Amino acid sequence: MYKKLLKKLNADKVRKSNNVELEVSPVLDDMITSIKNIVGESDDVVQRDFLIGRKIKASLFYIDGLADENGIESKVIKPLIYFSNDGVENLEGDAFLDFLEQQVTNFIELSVETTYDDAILPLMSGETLLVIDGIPKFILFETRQFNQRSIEEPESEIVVRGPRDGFNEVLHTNVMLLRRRIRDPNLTVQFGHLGRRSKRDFALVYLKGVTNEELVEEMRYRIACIDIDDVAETGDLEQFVEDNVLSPFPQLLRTERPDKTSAQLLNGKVVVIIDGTPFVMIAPLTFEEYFKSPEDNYDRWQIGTFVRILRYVGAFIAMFLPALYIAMVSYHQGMIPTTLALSIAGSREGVPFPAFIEALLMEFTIELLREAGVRLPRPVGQTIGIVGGLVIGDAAVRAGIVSPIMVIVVALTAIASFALPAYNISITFRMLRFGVMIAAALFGLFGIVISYILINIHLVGLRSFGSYYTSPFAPYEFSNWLDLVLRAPISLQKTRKAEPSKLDTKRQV
Amino acid sequence: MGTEDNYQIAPLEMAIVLMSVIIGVGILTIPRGLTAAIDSPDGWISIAISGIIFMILIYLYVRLQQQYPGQSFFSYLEQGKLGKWMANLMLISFIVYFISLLAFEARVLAFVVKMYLLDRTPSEVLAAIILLTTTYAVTKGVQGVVHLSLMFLPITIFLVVILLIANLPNIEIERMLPVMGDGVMPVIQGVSEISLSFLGIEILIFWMMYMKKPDLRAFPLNIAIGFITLIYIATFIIVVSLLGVEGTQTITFPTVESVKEIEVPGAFFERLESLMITIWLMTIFNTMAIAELITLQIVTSTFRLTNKGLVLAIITFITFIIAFIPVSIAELFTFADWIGWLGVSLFCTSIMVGYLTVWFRKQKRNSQMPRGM
Repeated sequence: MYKKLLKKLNADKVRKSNNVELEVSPVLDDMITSIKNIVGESDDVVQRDFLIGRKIKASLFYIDGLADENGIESKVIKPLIYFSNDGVENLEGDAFLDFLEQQVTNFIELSVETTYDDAILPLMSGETLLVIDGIPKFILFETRQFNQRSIEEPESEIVVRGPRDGFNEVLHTNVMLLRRRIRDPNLTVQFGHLGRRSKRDFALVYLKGVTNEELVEEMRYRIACIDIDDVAETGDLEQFVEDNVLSPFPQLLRTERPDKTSAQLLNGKVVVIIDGTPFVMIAPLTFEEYFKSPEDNYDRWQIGTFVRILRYVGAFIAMFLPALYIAMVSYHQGMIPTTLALSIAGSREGVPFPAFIEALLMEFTIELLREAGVRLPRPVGQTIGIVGGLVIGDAAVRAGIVSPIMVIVVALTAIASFALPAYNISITFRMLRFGVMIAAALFGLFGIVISYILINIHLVGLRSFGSYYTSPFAPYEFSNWLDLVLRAPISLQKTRKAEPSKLDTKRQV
Repeated sequence: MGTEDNYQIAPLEMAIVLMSVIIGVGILTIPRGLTAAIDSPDGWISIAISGIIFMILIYLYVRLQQQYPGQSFFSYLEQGKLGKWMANLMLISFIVYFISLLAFEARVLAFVVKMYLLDRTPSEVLAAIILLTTTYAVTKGVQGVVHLSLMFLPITIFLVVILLIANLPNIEIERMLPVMGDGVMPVIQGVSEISLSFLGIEILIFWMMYMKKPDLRAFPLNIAIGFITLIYIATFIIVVSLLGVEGTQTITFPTVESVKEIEVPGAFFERLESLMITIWLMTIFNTMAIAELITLQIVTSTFRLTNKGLVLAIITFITFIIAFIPVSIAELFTFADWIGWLGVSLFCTSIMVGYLTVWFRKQKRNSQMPRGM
């Protein structure tokens, strides 16, 4: 039954319009009827009839709001109506079309299509469609205009020093931002459509001569395999093209920063930009990428190194601190120095719960606060932080629900998790933390180390577009260690990163 | 890109894998086993001698492997009629050996963890958890297990070195004297005792086929052995000079016990031995994961089984049963001695059979060639 249904669905997979090609007739009225049949009863499709050279009937279609009306008026309609050339009467069909193209219209981007399918899609995205009586072809003018947000500093990746521009929602602006940074003619930008219904534009960007062609092919192939109504965000796309769907770890890098993106392009990676989102997707990703911020390179190398060490420690704290607290308090009291052990025991005296429940309560609260803070309007969000952090924490201690030391642990964990430059990996760490806490509650330090081993096993098995996720830790790539936990002076970093494999490995000669 | 079929181990990686498989539970018990066997502080000379012996063995094996690069020892052996019979016999012995090794490591781990970390959790649970963890690691294949060694070994080596250095102020070096006070015989006896701690080099027989032909050199591997020998010697000297010969003999895990002597300035941490065991678990895990993966490879290839999941489950179950056959720690160490001898004799037999086969086939090839060429 189920299989039958599946078979039927698969049989219907090919769209009707792919099979049945509408025939293009040279009669203007027929063409207009067909176009109207296709675009339906939409009120925002504007039809404008006029006479070319005051003689030949023609019709022009565009979508109100998407196309630039001033441009249509001054660069398309005006020249077409008012041109005067007496020899034109003899021209027929294609010759007439060429004449119009070359001598009359003064529009830069213009294309001629022969099927309805090819003509309607550009029309729907804002181009202007011109049909002329007697010519069974479609002339399209690139009149798309974009109302766009100005280029602002990205909010999810803030730097102290560095460029303040970020991607916005318009594909062409984003590509422009990259072009402006890398003026190499080898920077290749390829456009395509994505989504069965939405036909969203996307761009595949890579640096020819550096990026491995196999990687580009693989990305192209995986994107081509997607069959879905709409891909709203690169996050959507990510889940279709990534290697392991079950893993909690993100396997593709996303960023809003053009400077970070261009640095990744120079490392031989492939960038996918989708229209409608400021987040671009970069493949492949290695684990250590999440501990790097573009800012590291802009400041002194000592500063970069220090900050990076802080991030690694932060990640460790975010993942293991509550678990260590649980393990120490419930199993290995002997490991804590005597005086501290006494004070912990003293402060936990009134607490009715075991350490695990206590930690779980507080960690859950802080996650709730974080989520609430993000969702609320900005002015209220900050209040939530203060109310949650200070008031609830203090009240919980006074009420004897948790011990003061637990509040320290939770606060440290929360702060440490926010120190990571990438938001999505910090959520992964915070999520895994609960698993580690359970392991610690069951088996103490043994549980913690087993969960550490399990996470590592998972990581060494992960691939991101064929690249080892744990590189350059495993396999060892010592030349890359200069830019790992340390951020050695840039003049020493002579090679590009080891993953992905690339055509040109030297970045300085 | 990086699939199981074309995965290749670089020389450095092989050296690291060798180190992580050799440094298992051995380092925890060497000082006790050695002083108990020879009753003198000269054990470090025995360690040095056996280190050299194992270096020679590795050199011999690498020379042998150069005859059939990209091929495993046994697939080379199986090409002959007699070889096939021989190979199957040896493979079965290797299965027994690796499963016993796996069981032994699991049991010791359960012992140590019970002793120093979780005194009320049943050993069965601890052993089961570590066995399930290694089983999960094995599903990641050769590449996964090799990479795990690369991830964990630096941490554990760093830990050992730190602990050894931290213990330096406490030692009394007079306890190591006199050198060779009891003559040469105890040193020779010690060499036989130490053999288990160097075991793990059998993985070369099974994994050298993953190496490229120009990478087949003994040098990086022998550096690894040399490094391990140095660590063993340093551990032995520090532990024995700290606890004395008599003290070392009576304590089950003298290395762990010696860590107790370390005092952290500022006393932020106490009972460092718990911390040490915690991190040491990673090394034991590495040894076990490699042993289990090789067992799986042998079983599936020898008996031509395709259902790896089922085989893995059976291996894990059998290992678990065997792990709890020795009832006391004394029996466990007797068990360990058997494993040690089995391992050494299997490795030596392999080298011998290998050389014989190579020699025999060369003879045959020469005799088949028409004379006068």
